[in-house]
Amino acid sequence: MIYWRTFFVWMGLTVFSSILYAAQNPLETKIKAAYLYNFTKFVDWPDKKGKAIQICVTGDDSLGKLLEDLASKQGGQEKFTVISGSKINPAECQILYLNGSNREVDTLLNSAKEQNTLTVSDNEHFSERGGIITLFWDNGKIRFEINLLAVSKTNLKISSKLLELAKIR
Amino acid sequence: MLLSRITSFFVVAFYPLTLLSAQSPNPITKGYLELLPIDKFVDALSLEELSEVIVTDTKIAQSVHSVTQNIQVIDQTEFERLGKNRRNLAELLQYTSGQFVNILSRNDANWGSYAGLGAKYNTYMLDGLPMDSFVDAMSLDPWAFERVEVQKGPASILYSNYMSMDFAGNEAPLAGTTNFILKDKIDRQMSRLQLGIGSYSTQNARAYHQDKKGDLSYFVGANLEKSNYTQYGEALSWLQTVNNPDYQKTKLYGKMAYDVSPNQKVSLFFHHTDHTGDTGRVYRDFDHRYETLNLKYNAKLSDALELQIQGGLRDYTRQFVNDNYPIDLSYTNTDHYRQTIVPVDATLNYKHGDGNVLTLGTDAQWNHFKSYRTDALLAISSQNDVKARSNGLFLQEKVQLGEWIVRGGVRYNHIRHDYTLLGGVTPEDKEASWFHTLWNIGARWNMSPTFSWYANSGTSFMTPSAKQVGGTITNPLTDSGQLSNASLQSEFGMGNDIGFEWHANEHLQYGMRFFYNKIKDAIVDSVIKTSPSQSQSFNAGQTVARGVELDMKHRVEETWEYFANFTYTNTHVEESQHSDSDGAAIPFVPNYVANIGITTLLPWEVTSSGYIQYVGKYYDSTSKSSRSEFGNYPLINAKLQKNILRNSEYSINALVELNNIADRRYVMPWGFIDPGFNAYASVLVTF
Repeated sequence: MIYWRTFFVWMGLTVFSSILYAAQNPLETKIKAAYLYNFTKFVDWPDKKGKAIQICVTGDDSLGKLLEDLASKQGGQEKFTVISGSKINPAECQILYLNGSNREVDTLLNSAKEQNTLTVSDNEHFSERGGIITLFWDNGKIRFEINLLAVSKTNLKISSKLLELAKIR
Repeated sequence: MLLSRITSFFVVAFYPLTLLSAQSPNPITKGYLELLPIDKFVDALSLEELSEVIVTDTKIAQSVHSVTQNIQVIDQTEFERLGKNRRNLAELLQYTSGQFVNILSRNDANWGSYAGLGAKYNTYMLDGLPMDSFVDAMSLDPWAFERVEVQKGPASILYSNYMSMDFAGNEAPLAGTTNFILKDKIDRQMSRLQLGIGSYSTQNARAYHQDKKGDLSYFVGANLEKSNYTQYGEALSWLQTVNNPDYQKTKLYGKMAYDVSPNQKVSLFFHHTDHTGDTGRVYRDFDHRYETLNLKYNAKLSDALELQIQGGLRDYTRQFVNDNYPIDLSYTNTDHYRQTIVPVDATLNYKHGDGNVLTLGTDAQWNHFKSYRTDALLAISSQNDVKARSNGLFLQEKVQLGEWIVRGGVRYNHIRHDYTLLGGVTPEDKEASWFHTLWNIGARWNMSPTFSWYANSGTSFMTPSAKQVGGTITNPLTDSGQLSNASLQSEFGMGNDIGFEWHANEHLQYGMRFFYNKIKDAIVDSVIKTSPSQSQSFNAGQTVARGVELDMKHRVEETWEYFANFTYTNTHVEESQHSDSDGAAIPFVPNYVANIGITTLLPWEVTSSGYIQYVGKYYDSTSKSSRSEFGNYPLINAKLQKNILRNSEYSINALVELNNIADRRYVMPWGFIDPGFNAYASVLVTF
């Protein structure tokens, strides 16, 4: 009987602790994080062999934190690091996620255009500004558009699988 | 008594629900995916699936209801939670409704039941190709698998019988199938190392590495376990030991998959196991070798046509040394068994209309089973030499009509046995063959996006194995094993089920399934003696197994989830010729099994999982006068996992498993007894 009591007490305590510990991330943020993570696997950067891919996130703290969490949990399975905040140097980023005012987006985008940086945003007119991948809403789903003209100005190699799934501009 | 236990079970299972409604600030109407931790989230969804996730709260993110059978999926995350993933695949299914898994010992096959029938009515498959639910389950390493799909209900059209002549003999998918799916999607380099120690001087080391080089992806792995183990036989039983029963198990495995073109893929999986040791007496050594191969070719011929061709090899070599126990411990003889089975399968799928699939194919198997004995003077005497082969042709059409999915199929099957030697003598009947045409139908009604009904019905048959006909015993007075029964007939059965699946919301699932399985001339194994241990198979007239499975699964928060299930089974044998068996329950089937499991994510990256199982009453024989009663015991297992270090280069986790916490040394058939409480601790490094 003592075993049963011990077991139920242990279960009660662990469940109670876990409720207190509960934390939530909106699904939209998770999908964006998963997209950025998947882009690391379907895009080739020149001269990046063996080095960790750097994902930079501006203007979306929850996305940055989620990616940091993912990077730490990957345990070396996929080597990427995350920098989030406002002081970002696009030259150090392989993927640059931009979120914020049009002016901030334009400034960083212009700096990134001269680099082999995969620029991503959910800004509505991101492609028109010269961004490479735009995340957009489509009937309750989040999909992505690839701006081939912007890609052609870099040395990035985007896999056919990614192109197949994207809306092409 | 039983009613009060059922009531108690569901009070315990549903109690957290009331807690949730009272305390949780989070509405449970958001998406199920939303509650997955980010690492599990990216693992769960491919790039294609990401763009199909419906984010709005009004629909379920994943609602694939396109098969008529109920399928339960156990993935790697659950393997890890269960903890007991090093020794036998059947233990991964221990807490699944409808199943009863009796873990006899680390050196023996597990035994149990499925949907009210013996475990042999649920075929095990490796990527859709049959394998042995006893031998391969002891052999294969769970790190090779991506997931397990437990398909409930009759499935004898697409999947053939397994022709094994050893252990329980043939296996047929009358009550369901369990498909172990090998890892296939490898898109990154990853390595794992695990070192552990546990009770009975158990030492375990595992290694795994996967990578992708261009169009070639592969994984390789190894597993070594040594232990002094402990007494696992009842006092004075044939399993009584004088020393600790040492064992060593070594596994090597790997898979290579090559994308020949965007529409063609070929893969090869191999697995080798060496299992050596003794059962605790001087002349009770064993030496087993198991080889398993799967070769697979997939081709997408057009948007509508897909071809899959598979072939495999299952090669089992087993050797047992026997002594003169209980008279003395002197050497008497050594038994050698060799079984080689080659299954092949070719299946063509034609997609047409809106979600309809026509499947046609053919499969075959070849089996050669040989056994011989060497005595103290090294004289060799052949015991069994049997060949078997089967051929099958199958056709199935699945049609989607709005919210209805309807499936129907037929299979033509031919099985032939050639007996050169049975039990050391040349039999009078040197061959036997069976032709059967089987059918299977099923339907699912997706009544709403969250509620589905399903029903399935189908026939199956099973031939007696050579071991069941010829036995494995030369001297019935002293030998342990299987007694012969030359008058065995094949059995023919029908399986039926009906049930529903209800996603009450995206976090909470309920299920209920009724099954009714009937077998004519059922071949039943009964324990005749326990010292020496002897079983015999016989046709038990008609057997009927009916029951109900209740399931619930609830992911309450990102940090805790639980499941509960209950299986009630009522079985009986109708045997007008033998009053002693008439009305008896089918052996090894408990009248109920209840399971509860809770997993919680605690602060400081500690994960805690606890499982309670309660097994009802069951017997070891259909003989009402001589059968023994077993069961009526609880089993409590737990696992704790703590992340020690994690960065972008590697992670280190510490794991502790506590098995049979209540230290219940329950007795099992054939004189086995559970050794009681044991623990295991390990460190897992991923990089």
